[in-house]
Amino acid sequence: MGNHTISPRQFMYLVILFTVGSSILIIPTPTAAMAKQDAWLSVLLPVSAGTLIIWFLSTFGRQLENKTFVEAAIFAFGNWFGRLLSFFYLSFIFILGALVLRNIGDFMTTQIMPDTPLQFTHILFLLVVIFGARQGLEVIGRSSEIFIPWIFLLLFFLFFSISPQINLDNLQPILGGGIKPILSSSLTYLGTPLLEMVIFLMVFPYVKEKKKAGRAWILGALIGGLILTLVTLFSVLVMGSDLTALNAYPSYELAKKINLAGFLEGVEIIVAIIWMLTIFFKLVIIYFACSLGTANFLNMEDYRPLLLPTGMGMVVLSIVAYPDVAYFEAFLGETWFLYALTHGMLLPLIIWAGFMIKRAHTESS
Amino acid sequence: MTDKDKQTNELDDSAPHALFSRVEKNIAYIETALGNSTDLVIRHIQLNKTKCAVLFIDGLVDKHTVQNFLMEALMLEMPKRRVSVTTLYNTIKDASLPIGELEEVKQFKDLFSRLLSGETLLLLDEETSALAASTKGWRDRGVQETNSESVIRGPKEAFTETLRTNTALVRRKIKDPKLRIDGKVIGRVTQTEIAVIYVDGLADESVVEEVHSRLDAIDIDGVLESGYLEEYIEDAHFSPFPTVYYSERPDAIAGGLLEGKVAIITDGTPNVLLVPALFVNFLQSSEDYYQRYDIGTFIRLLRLLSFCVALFMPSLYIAFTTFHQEMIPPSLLISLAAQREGVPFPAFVEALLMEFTFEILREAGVRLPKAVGSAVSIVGALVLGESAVQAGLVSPAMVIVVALTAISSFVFPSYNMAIPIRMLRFLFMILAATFGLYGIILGLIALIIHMCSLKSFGSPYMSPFAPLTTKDQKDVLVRFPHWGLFSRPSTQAKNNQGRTSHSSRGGQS
Amino acid sequence: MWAIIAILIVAGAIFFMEVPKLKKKKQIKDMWYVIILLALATAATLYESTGMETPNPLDFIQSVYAPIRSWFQN
Repeated sequence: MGNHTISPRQFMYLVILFTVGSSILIIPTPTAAMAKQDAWLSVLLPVSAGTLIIWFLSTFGRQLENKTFVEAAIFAFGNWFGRLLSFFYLSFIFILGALVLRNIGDFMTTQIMPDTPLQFTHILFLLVVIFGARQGLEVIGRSSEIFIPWIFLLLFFLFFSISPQINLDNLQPILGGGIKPILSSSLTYLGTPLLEMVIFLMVFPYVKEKKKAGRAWILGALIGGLILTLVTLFSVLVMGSDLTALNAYPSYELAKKINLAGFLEGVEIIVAIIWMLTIFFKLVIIYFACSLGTANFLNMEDYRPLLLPTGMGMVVLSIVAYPDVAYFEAFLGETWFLYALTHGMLLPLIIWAGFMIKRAHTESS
Repeated sequence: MTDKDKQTNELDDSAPHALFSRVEKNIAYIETALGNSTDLVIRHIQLNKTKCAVLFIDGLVDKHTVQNFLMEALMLEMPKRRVSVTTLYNTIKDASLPIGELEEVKQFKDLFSRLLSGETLLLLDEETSALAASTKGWRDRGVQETNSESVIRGPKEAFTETLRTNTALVRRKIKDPKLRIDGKVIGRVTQTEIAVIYVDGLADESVVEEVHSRLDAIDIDGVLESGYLEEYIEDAHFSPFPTVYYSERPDAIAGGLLEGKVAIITDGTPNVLLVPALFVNFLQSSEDYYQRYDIGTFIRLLRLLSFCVALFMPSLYIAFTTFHQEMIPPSLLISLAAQREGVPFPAFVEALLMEFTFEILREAGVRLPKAVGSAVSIVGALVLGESAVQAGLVSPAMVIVVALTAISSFVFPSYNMAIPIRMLRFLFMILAATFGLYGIILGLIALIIHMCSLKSFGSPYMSPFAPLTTKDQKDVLVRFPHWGLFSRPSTQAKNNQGRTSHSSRGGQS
Repeated sequence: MWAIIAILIVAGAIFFMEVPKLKKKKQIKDMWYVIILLALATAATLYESTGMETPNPLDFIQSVYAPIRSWFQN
């Protein structure tokens, strides 16, 4: 579809942005609530475990050669059952997209723009996302190269300028609650963003040099995971686990506490900028994957005409998805991991098995 | 349809018409075709009993050359004994005319284009080909100092309106036999001469070919300035960003040629086009290379900063004062609020008012004669700025913001990069007034995506940032010392990357 | 009321942005898919804008996973 191919390095940037996007909002609160002062361990632990998941996904991606996930499902399981499986996959992406959109909308309307209606923040954000997705993957990859240095610079600034307020006592006692709460809270990180990585199977066919790309995928997820670990660690170090767990947006609170020599304060906007940028890229990838998948599903020549109708649907879903933050946190804590596990692990496993059998079959005959 | 139009059409229809053998008939044809224009000079003479005519357009030829070399040679140094017309013709052609450039002309179409570009024609009776002597010479401005791109250190000369002078200016900078100058004529009525210049072996052949094919595809009646061509050959027609660079400085164009770019010179304008043009090219000035590298680097960073200031300053002011007062330090907020007290407009209207005022002043300043220009600046600075504040219509902070924005937008060495900034600034102000910082950041994302989607003759507009080329970073935001600039930008000079003799290993890829 | 008009205008705008292009390219099947999806999205938006209780897919997902979850937690 067109000439959009991206380099492994651009792919790695996209993976980093995808990992950090929206998880930087979501992760610290529930992990701090469950694992207390060891919250950062419950992010670091699954980062390493996630390598295994991504290794599987990238191997699968390389075996798919130039087929997208949806095309592979239809190839492996035929027109009807294959489409049924892809329907689940696409609905997963679509719902995830709506939730991510709602995340940024919630944040904006509660913290930064209290007078703006939720719908309008969503519509404006999605318009830019659609504009990005319409330009194709090549342009998305290139613009990630522009933004990545800025994101790292802002993150470095955040960590550097908050470091005077670190209180190491907040980390004590390490492993005070045993390993069990860490394990159970690490499921949060597994659910979002690690298992969501399955979405990249729609993007992977467009990455050049597949072998390098597989490594870039793993490296990107590691870097992204490290950033999230640091954000959680700093939140706990500065505010303590109780305050972190109480706050809806701990990393934003963290930035509010920056006060360098009395003149540099009120710079929490830089965190908001990091969030918007990372969430934007996460949403663009989701959106691209969703409309491309739908186009594959319907056997269409181009995904671009689908962008605007899909956007209308996504705005509606993002509004009706949940009535309040409490509902969302419950959903995230209880159901999301299982939902992501079935779609991010089980489904690719099934399709991988079917694909390998089918391929062996066609090659032998 | 007037008679004149009819004649032009007839001329077009009978375009590849061969010359007649009778000289009167030829002259009559030329006279009707030119509609008895008064600047056509026809001198009937008799050479060796043969009827001849010398034709030229007054004002386009160098009268001195016509007088001293052509007429004198014809009338005084002709063979005395009677010879045939063919012999006479050949003698004139091969032996007796002391003129550098002499061509045979057999078709009327060719004849007209030569006559109208300043050559002198010699018609002989009973001969179906005429002689065209190059006697071009008209009054031009001469090579003068550049007005629009002045520098402190560096050559002061600028291109002129004459194509040949311009190609010579480039040739004088690059004395390499590989410098190629391809000619073209564009414009059905104006017949404007175009020169495509590149260094063979440095420029990417596909870009040269692309330039030629895009120029050949142009179908237009007249080209009066290179801007006509620019709009035809640019990649992104619906983008505020320029994808073709132009300059009137020969050193800037020569520098571009050395990087493997292709220049397009249009007759009649000092502005020479240069492609492919990247975003960073518009933030660079040739002076960066003449001054020491440290100050060159500093100035480049300053330009990038002023790019951001010019684009975002008013919108940030609007966003912070309207939506995010809590993010302003308290002491500053108090002084801002005190200033804004009594201002009847919201910040957005205030900013819009001042920005429009400034744009109007700026346009007026450009068009007015120099003597009146200073009057405009007095009116602008004193009457509008000072009194508007005193009358309580705008706050002093707003005046500072607008002034800073305005000055920042003058920092760019190329005028056409200031244009997208001037226009997008208003878009960002609207976004800021409706969605605050959220709108500005989303606008910024959309802007970067748009810029990343642009291409100029095959080169990504945002390279070498996106796609990132580490090797090319040495001459983008920072400028390495000249001994460190050992390779050419990899997106443009694909064939020969080495700039120094020992660094050519990257070449021939 | 205004919301409904705005939604219809947006839907119409999307229709005129996408459909004629596809028709010109003779991708009739794709054109119908876009029209159907657009109609569905418009219907959903209109339904939501009336303020009626909209069925929530997240509720549905939760009810599906409820038995697995209770098994998982034991």
